[in-house]
Amino acid sequence: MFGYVIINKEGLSQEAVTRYESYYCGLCRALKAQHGNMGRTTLSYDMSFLYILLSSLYEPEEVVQRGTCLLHPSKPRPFILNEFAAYAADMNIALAYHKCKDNWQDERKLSALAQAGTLKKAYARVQKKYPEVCTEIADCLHEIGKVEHEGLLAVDLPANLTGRMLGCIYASFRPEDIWSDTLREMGEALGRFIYMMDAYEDLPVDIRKHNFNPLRTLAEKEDYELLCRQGMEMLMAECTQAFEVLPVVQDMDILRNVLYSGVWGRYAAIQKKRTEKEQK
Amino acid sequence: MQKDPYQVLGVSRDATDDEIKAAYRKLAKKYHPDLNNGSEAAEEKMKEINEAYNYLVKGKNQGSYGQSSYGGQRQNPYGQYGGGYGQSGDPFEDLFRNWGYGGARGNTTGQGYSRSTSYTEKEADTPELRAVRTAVLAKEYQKALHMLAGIATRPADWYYWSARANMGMGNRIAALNDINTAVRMDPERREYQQFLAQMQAGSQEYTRNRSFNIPSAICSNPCMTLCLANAVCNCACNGCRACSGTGAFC
Repeated sequence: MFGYVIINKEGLSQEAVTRYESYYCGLCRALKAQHGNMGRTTLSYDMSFLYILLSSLYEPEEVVQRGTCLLHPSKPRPFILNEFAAYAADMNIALAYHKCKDNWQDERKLSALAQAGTLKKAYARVQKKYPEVCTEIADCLHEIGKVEHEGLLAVDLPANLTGRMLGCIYASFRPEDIWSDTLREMGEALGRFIYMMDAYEDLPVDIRKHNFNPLRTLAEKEDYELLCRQGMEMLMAECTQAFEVLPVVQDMDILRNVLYSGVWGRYAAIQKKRTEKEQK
Repeated sequence: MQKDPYQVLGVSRDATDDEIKAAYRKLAKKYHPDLNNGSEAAEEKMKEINEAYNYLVKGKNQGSYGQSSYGGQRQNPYGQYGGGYGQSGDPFEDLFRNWGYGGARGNTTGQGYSRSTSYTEKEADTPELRAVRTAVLAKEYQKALHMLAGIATRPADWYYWSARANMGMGNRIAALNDINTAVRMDPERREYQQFLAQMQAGSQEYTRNRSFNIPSAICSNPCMTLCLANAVCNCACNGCRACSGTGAFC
């Protein structure tokens, strides 16, 4: 479900791409510092985006250092650290932990159970710090699982649940802040989009494998592709409407690149593949 | 004390959103209470700055629909752009009563659809659908959906009211599907097209901004020529260039 909230490198300067990667590296380092090497396995673009968003909104003091790591052992790469890295790292852990538990419950994947085990200690730390957010993540993922298990052929309910979860994550670092509501709305809309895009991308495979997919009935309609496109645009429009309320200036190029372009990256790749297939 | 929001932020009347944001940040750095030892004067000033900012930026993004007849949103996220601030439903009307900001903020790119209260809605055809209509207008969306499920005959109007009820519940995709069906079944009905346009008002602004960032692969998608909306679309081309002039996304 995650991995859609990425940049479109084509639309960014090299400087901006480097900065984006520096945030990502910074988040990785925060994960290591707080939750050890196992924590790093939970690193996601989605929380990386949140890290950049909060940093841009609040403009905390940042430290930019250079270093090498396991994945990049030769040339030292820059990484950014500030007070929001810890929150993004914690949310990575919480999301990954519950996703694993859910995967174990649904699909009995031993690897999921194993990973949940490795994250148990880290998750316990996060849950102590952010009990409400963790409960919300757990509840939402559980409800989504239920809906999918019951085979409810409507995408809005699980999408809204995903939104509720992401909105909570977005709003909860500084819940009393004046921007908290707007951040929540932004997260809610983005969550809906992510769920729908995921269902859209998975549909062909799900049909082939006789798996559940909430878009199944919609997919039988002649205007299915247009409907999905229009629907997802509507969802992103809500997200950016909230986003553009925030007084963000720093790294605005990265954030807008992700929200207006990057999130469509996989969608664009799918369409391109189809075109090429049809032309054969 | 009521002041001109442009003056408070120190920006010109045709300032862009980004200029307003930059101005806000500059002032916030100066007057944030945390940076001023919790000075009361700083707090007052910050409040003023926040109000001015909210008025200028939120007002534009929320449009003038105001009433959340489309689900428990903060305010209507499907609002049109360029709607006047002086119209009723403007959440900040009381605060800035004497200013008369009739939509002249320079970004008037909206479609000019009238507010929902000025629609002339044709009476729903059957007593069952009339009951659904009543429930929807009373914002009893769950009830409306329940009633709709019990109606066997489904003309265009059924889909229209289903769209309205679904939207109220926050079932955006279901609502979009329903309104598209209604439009297809009865392309002449103005209120169907208007509701569809309303739902998509935000998307137009979004795709306009996206045209400067679009991944190249999207442009070459032939599926987009399957454009149902073409038949009834009122959309004015905003020159986003996404369709390379073919009108395929229109």
